[in-house]
Amino acid sequence: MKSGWTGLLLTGLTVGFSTGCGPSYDNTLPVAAVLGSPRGYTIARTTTHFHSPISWDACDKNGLPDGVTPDPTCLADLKNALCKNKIDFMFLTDHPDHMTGFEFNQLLVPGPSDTLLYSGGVPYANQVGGCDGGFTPTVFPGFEGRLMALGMMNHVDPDPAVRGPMYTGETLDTRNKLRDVSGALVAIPHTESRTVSYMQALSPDAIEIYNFHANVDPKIRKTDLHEPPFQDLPGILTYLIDPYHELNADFMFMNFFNVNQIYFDDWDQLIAGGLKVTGIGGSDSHENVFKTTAADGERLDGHRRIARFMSNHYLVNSMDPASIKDAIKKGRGWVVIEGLGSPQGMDFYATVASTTIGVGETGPLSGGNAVITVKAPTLYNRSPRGTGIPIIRLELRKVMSDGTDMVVARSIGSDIQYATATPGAYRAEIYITPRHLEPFLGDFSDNADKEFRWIITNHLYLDP
Amino acid sequence: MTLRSRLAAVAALLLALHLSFESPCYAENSSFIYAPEFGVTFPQPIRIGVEARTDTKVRYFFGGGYIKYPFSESTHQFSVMSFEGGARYFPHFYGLYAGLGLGYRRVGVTTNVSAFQIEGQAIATSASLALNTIYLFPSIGINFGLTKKLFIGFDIGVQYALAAWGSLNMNADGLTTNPNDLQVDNGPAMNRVAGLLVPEITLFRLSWVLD
Repeated sequence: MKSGWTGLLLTGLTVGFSTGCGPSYDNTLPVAAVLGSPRGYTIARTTTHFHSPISWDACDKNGLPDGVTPDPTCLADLKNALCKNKIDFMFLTDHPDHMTGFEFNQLLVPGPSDTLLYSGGVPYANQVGGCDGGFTPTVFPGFEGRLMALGMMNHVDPDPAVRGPMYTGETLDTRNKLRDVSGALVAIPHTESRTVSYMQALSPDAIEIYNFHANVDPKIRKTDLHEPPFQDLPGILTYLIDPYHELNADFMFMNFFNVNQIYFDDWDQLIAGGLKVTGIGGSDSHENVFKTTAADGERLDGHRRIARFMSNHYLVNSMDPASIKDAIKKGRGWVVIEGLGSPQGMDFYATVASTTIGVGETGPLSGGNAVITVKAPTLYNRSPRGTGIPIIRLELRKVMSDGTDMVVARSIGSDIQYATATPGAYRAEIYITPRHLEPFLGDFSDNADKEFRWIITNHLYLDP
Repeated sequence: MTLRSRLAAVAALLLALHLSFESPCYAENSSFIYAPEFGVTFPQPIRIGVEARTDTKVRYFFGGGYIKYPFSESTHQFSVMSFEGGARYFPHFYGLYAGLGLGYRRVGVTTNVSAFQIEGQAIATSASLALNTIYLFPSIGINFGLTKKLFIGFDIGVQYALAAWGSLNMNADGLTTNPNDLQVDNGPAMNRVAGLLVPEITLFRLSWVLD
């Protein structure tokens, strides 16, 4: 007995120094098509705001070490994000500084195993090769200036000196040229810093209703979001101080993720004003904040990690560039915080007599009633999960004529079927209390009991 | 509570129980022999203290330290202050002992954080972090005499947090003058960092037995 405690103490010390990670999990996302086929559509996972090494500030501000060639490590990280997260379509949005001077095929950041798609002899998209299982993501070029061009087919002008000012501008002429000459969708990024009247005047195809960068940037938090600037910083930095590798940094976002009400206020006002504009979530990944690696050996701000946490799911007729751009333009899809788990079986539509009006679509009530359906998604069975059961709560919101919104129906864990004769714009918001993630959260397991926004749909519109 | 936490707590509890059964020091002895100590340790680089010895197998210790580097004001500054008290149990086996202590540790770091940037702009210019921890300190070590009065000891253990809290102050020129904006109150994250399991190592400890 006298020597027993020494052994026990030694055991305690030994175990104390060993690592204490939670259960392992598959950090890849499933192919989006397995998450359902709402009304016959295919789900396409899409990223709408992402920076390649061509952006001046990407890759620790050294994305082009020789001024021309993308940094191979950072580019490999980008392609790894595409492959691991099964991103069907990625819309690159490089800052114009370098992008303006690059020829269009360079903007596609092609590699030896990639296949370029051509239109009129000009390459406009890159089908990235080399992913496991033959998965083939498609990358489109574009830019993020004051406006954001998604899926350009070509430069708006062959002369960099002419197109440069357009890419940094924000005029109706620029918008029109981007649409008509370049074939791009025109979006407004960082809407937290734009006024409603500004957005109404530009009448874009899409606006950001969430931006990762804005969520964490102290200056934007203070100035535009009116939130305490540094409040969530410890929740991020703690992943850098993890000597026993106890934390899974893929769930770091749960320490800061929040969709500020300002985005909904602006979106509601635009919709109420008659602008049927698509809401998109912007990853805005740069790989330029934290070089330090987390417990999994990847940078804390690595492209794979940032892209994993949020996706845009669009409903497409076929997996081709025209279909995805059509779906984005119409708003036929939803934003998903997929780091919380992949939703399966999600759908949002209205039925008027024998007519179905899907998300992003407009249809008449013609004096009759509509039944609006929000399908309750379930957690995809291969998403990381412990034994806890998530609580999934659904809300159906109607945009009111005064530019606010109101919850008109709700449920927990079951579909919403809401009968109405009231015209207007409706969207669904789905929340999740991610109890299934508790084993993966380490000292932040309390986050498993908090409710998070999981899905934000675009609107469907019921006319009189 | 993790497996690591449970095992450390169980080990500490058993040690404490064992000490209480094996060390009726107050019943047997009413006098102590004192030995001032000087140690080079981690994480408290320099520690001074005193050990109170009896003729039982148990000795009691109390010590502490404070260091700030660099000593003058600087944009980078690190300080650590700690106090510790407890007991060491010597089974009379080659000078080996097991110890159990209770301590308080305060670590302060001020550093330039302008390297952390978003879109080319620094998040902040500097940050000051203060981490406070009350911890349990189970340890094992060895202590032997160099002369009749001069002793040297070595030990290793862990500082297992019983309570931990922290604060973070940011300095962001031009962003805000509101001090509430610069004082960060994020309990779970700060507490986690302050409460990390820290090894405590005594590289050497010299003690001088007073008559």
